[in-house]
Amino acid sequence: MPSAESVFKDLNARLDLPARRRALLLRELRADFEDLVTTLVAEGLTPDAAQQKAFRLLTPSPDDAGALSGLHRTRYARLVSRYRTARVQVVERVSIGVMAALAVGAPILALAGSSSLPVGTLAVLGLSATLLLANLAWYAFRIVVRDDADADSLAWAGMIQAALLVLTLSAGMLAVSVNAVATLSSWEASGGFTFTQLAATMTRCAETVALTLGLTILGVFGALALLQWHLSARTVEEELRALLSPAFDPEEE
Amino acid sequence: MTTMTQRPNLSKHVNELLILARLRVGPAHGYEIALAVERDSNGAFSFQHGTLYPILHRLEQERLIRGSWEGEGRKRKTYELTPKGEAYLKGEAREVKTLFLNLIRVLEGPAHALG
Repeated sequence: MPSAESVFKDLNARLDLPARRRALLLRELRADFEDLVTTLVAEGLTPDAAQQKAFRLLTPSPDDAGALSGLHRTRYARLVSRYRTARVQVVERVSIGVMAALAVGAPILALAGSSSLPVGTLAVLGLSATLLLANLAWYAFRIVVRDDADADSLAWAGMIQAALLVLTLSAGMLAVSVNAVATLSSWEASGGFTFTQLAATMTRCAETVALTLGLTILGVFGALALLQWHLSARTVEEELRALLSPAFDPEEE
Repeated sequence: MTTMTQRPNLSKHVNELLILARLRVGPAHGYEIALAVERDSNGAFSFQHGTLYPILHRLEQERLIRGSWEGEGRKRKTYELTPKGEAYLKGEAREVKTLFLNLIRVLEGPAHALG
């Protein structure tokens, strides 16, 4: 007869779900299993017979593990499960990319038309911010909306993307500010500048800084949310290890 | 009324009703439901190899039952019947009773029915 540990390890491997959801299922099943064995032994069955009966009544077959996985996927994941994964992922990535480009790329490119900052600098800034934001949004989408089985492992990569986004945008803000000061200095050197020139320069500078500052705050919050996710994922991993250990004791959970 | 042939999976449906019927008595853990169903039906109905949990969790998603975690440190999931589940059980139990009475009538034949 297989041990409870090996049966639950096998079940854990068959559940196509993120660790958080697997831990919840296994917590319930393992506690029920242990309680049922205790009850049956108290009623006079031998430990072996009690365990055998508990296996028969409570541990899911491969088909039932599949049904459980299906039930615990997000509504969106269930909806798209009927289509080919690769195709769905292409559609998702393109949609997120377009949204990120609209959110970041378009305003920055519009600014390029009116700013005295070199177009190349703004283009690099816009493109980097768009790519990083798109990647960050992709991770958030996989964690929150799709709830992929490997969602927990995405937190680190997401945090790096968020940090890079914040760095890129900070560099952008610095470049815009330095450029504004340089422009004003060059005008000052060549005979001064009018109030209109000063106001126009400051407005462009403020527009760029406001946009990048908004995205920077978004990046910082994104990184903090991912950090929180990563820390909770570690707690879940610890619980899973305890649930799958041979010495599991529900009283000490 | 739904006919027998219209039921996509009668045994699954009966399992659902058995769970709801057990929870009508009072809140219970998953293993208590499995044990009670087997005992109360004299072994005629039994949840084999974890068929219990997919049904329990689906009923929970459909809000026919409510699951809650109990215990400090010691965590156990307990299920209870919701008012929606109680109403559903009442209606379905009546329908299944009619269905089985008709089945028995057919199985026993017209002679028996006449007399």
